[in-house]
Amino acid sequence: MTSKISLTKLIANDLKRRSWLVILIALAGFFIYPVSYCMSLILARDMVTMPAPSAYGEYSRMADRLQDTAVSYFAGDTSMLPLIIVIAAVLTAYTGFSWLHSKAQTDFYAGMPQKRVHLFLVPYVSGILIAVIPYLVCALIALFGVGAAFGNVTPAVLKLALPGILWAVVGYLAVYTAAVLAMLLTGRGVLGFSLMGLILFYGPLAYLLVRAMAETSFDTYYSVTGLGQMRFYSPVTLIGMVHDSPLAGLLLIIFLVSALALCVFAMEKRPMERAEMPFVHPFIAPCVKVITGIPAAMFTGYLFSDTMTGRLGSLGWEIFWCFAAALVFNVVFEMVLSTDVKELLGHWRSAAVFFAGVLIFVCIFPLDLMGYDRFLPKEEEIESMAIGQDTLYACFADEVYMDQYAAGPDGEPLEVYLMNQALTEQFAPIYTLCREGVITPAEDNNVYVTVHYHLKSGRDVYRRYQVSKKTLGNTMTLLCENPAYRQAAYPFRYLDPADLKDMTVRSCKLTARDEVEMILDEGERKELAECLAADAGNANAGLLMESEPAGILASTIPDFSEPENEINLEQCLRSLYIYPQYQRTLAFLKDRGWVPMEQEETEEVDTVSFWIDDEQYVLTSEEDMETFFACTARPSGLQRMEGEVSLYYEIAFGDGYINADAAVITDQAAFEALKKAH
Amino acid sequence: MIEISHVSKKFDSILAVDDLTAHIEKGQVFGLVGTNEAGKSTLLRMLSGVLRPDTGSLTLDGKTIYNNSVVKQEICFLSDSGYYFPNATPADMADYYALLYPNFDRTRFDGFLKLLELDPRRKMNTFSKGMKKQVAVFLGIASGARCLLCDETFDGLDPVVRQAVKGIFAAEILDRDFTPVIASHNLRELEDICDHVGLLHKGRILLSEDLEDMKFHTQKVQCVLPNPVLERELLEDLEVVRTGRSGSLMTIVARGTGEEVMDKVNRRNPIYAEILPLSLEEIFISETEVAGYDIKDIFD
Repeated sequence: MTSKISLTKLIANDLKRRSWLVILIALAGFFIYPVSYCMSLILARDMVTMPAPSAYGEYSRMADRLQDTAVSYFAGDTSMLPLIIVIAAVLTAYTGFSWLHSKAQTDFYAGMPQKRVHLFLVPYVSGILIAVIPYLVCALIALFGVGAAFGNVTPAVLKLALPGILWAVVGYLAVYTAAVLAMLLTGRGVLGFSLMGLILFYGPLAYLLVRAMAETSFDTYYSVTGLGQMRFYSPVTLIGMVHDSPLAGLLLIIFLVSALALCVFAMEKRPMERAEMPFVHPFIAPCVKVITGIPAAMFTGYLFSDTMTGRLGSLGWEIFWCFAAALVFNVVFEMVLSTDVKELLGHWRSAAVFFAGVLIFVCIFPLDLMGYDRFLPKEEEIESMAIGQDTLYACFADEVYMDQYAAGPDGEPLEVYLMNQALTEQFAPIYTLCREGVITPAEDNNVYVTVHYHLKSGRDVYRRYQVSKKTLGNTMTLLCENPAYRQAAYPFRYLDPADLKDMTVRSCKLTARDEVEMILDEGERKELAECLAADAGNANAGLLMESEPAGILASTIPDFSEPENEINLEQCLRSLYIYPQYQRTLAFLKDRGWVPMEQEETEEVDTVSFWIDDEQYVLTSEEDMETFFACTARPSGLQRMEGEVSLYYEIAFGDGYINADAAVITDQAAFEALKKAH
Repeated sequence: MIEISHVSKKFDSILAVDDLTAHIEKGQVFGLVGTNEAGKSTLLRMLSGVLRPDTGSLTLDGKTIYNNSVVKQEICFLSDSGYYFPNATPADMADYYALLYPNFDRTRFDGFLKLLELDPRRKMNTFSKGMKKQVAVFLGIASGARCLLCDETFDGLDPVVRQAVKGIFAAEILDRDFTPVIASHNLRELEDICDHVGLLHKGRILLSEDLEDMKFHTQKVQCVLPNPVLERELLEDLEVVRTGRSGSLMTIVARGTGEEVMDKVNRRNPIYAEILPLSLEEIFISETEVAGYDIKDIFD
């Protein structure tokens, strides 16, 4: 008599045998969700609020804080959730499928009257139930139980939290299935764990490594994608992105389905005699060796080259250490797998592919045989070009802060959006600048400039060249003769008058203590925005790069409540320079009671201290202080970016006020004499 | 019942089973004998569906065994390295077997445990090796499977338990359709219980015969002949498997019935001639010597 085997009963039997894991996960879930969530809500409820009106005052509403707490727990990009998912997934995958790594257990389970697919399904399904059920129970208790106690079960919270919980389950399934796949492809526990790590994290690590090699090897390397791109290459990092990116959710589901299909296939085809062998199929070991070995060898080679030679500029040592690391890695890998010296020669084919791969990377990166740094398309191949605005920002702002999350209207990085806006078909001056950057990169008195080539083929290429300030200034002067370009390139046309609230203005002198708060009504803010747009729009950037600003117009707090896909230049420019050329702006400010200092005022200064090469100098006499102020100046933003800051100073006034900042030396001889005297 | 047809299995460069063909009849107690690395365990693993053959087929009543859960319900495999769930008791193991073998007889299993005074609620990891093997055998018998594959199962059992198990096997064979296949090195044990023996060597079947037929068609004769010429004549006349000499006393293992062999000996007017009992071990050694595996040479 034969009968259908009850999968449900087998799953129940498996759950009973792994009940210890259910209890462990339930306990962890309990402390993470109801308990920790309750503590966070208490903190959010009792937070001391800022007085309104202010941006923080807006944010201070308790309901908003409680809602944000709920969102961060159930739908936010919290760092804890992916980590917890990985731990739970690895534990359940290992406990469910470690039998595949034991000959005795394989004989037992595979000898039982079950189909191969059932041998997979029983532990797989029970592994899902072990983690998902406790998670759902704890999360829902937290959301509805604890949340209700704080009045935090609102439609807005549920709208974000419920999908967040669902996505967490999907994320777990993806990571868990990847871990199961690793167990199915290996025959030993240690290798199973290693392969899990490889599947889950190889993508971002490889991306980081390739990027690091490009940044190190290529002088003109520039990337518009940012490190955020690497989060798309791992299911673990995708979990934190699903709330903001439909693409991330789709990729996660595709990964899950693909991994599941591979698992079923691997189980059907798995030769059970491979238990306690390193890998299930002979071709897996060489693939793993090549995939992991090449990045490992390259990374180790670069690291040793930097450590042993003290600088990562010695090409010969880079290449030597890359191949040396490749040799060591090959030996170690074979020894780990078989502990048989003869196997080193036996696997010569995979070793050859491995070394060939390292050679290819060496040719591409350190040797740059593909010509990355020499890239200069023919003019007839180019449709338009643009110069990146990050360099120019330094001409206009004292503190340049490019929010890495600031984005253009279509979600692209803000600087990419601005560069696209500044593309010009009259690109001859830019092309000349690029030619200089490719052929004769400047080494002295230089500045880095980003260039965007938009080719007629549709391809976009970005490079970062080292050019002289003079050439850049000339280029900008030529470009700005075109009003349309000026309008597109200068960021001030994007200033929203509404952003110009709660501003202060002060002079740029070292002894400046004239900070004045600008409380402007709507009409005044509009007028100021127009003055700035006109003054900055007409100013010659090349000239500005060499000029000393007269004052700084500083905003207060950036508005973090803005959605991330709206342009918010306050997140880019915190404090705007006011140059002597800004006649309209200066007139506006003068009408409101502020004029810039024309020279340093030392009457109320008690002492001037400065630090140079870790040595401190203190000036107390008025004569010395005047000498100091005569041979130093406040650095422009460009000078700060280029690292031209020479020293740090501290000015102590008689009333106890202290002014501290960085400065540049404008008269080296006079400064040296001053130093010598002290 | 079980047909093994041109089955081969290779592990990397090692050919464990080489184009093996055999037939196991229903109701036989089939002994699988072989040298080390002959392929016995590999064959049993293929018969139980653990391993997939590279070539050939293994069928039970005409149905392929591999990945066939219905057919596998008729087969129970007792591996040489038995496995039990951590912290499981015999009762827990019986519960698991009952999920997979619809004919599992719980009453029978409990009766076996009681017979040998094994506590069903005691954890298996506190049992001795022999006790664990006992539980394994009882699980296999109680599973109700028609075919029980035992890989060196009797090793580790004490003589009393061994006898008891043999008795249970015999009773099972009488009561129902039951075909045990027993792999072992212990030829004396197999001689007691098996009625058909398959001799494996280097992945191939050297011989597969009923034990009685094997003994009937191979004889060991001791004789003393008057002169060397007659000795040579006799050796040429007989189908010799193995010879030995101690002075003038010759010991010859030859193929043929007792009558045929003695007839040839008597025609040489022996001074002394006698047919001696032949054990399975002697047949095993003789046949493997013919195949080129002479353990005696190791010590020469």
